Amino acid sequence: MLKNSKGVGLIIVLASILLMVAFASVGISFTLSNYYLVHHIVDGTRGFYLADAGVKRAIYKVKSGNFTSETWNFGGVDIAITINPDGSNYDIISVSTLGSLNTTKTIKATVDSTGKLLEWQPE
Amino acid sequence: MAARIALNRKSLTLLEILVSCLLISIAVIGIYNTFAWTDTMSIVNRCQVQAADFGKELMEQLMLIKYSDLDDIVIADKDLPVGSALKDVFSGSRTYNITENPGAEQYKIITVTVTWKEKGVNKNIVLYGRLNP
Repeated sequence: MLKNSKGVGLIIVLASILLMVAFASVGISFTLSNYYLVHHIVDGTRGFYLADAGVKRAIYKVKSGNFTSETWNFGGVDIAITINPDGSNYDIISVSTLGSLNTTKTIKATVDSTGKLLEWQPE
Repeated sequence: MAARIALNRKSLTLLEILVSCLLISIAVIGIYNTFAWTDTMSIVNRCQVQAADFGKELMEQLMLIKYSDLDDIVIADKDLPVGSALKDVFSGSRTYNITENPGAEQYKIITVTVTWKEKGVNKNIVLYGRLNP
């Protein structure tokens, strides 16, 4: 009986440490997921206004009779602007990609040939 | 002989206690640092989200202003609201700037900057917006 109880203390200690490590792992996991979420929120907010600027750039181009798609740099970020003719209207897709997590924000819009905004849809 | 075994058992228990103390100390130090890190990160995350929110709030106000009025406009409550943690605890501030595009293409660039201090280190979030005539 006494022989069997040898080392029980060590097992209890190791089990306690394992429990603490499990708690810490949960804490780290929550913190990391929060960190990524916050980065997406912040980069998403920045990206939203940049993508919106891309749509405005496309509207300016349509008004000027220039319908070529391009990558436009604004605020230090490259924004992919696509202009597709759709009947008498033009479909615009503006995509900004930024941050270490490559957060993308896309805004789709439709304008007529005068540049009047008919539809504006963030994704 | 029996006395020697008993003595050995006592010393083993003492060794166990010492090893246990050592292991627990190492584990507690590691776990304390982990919790201190998660605490710091939660503050960092909270500041970032608040800053993005406050920046967005001002940007929305500026985006609603007519293009021709943008130069003359003065936003009275441009700074961060009193009572917000970002202003009171982290010495945060919010500013905006409106500039005309220097190129041939006519538009205005709106820049909203939210700055704050985290443990003496300056942090900021900058939002860029565009307004067509």
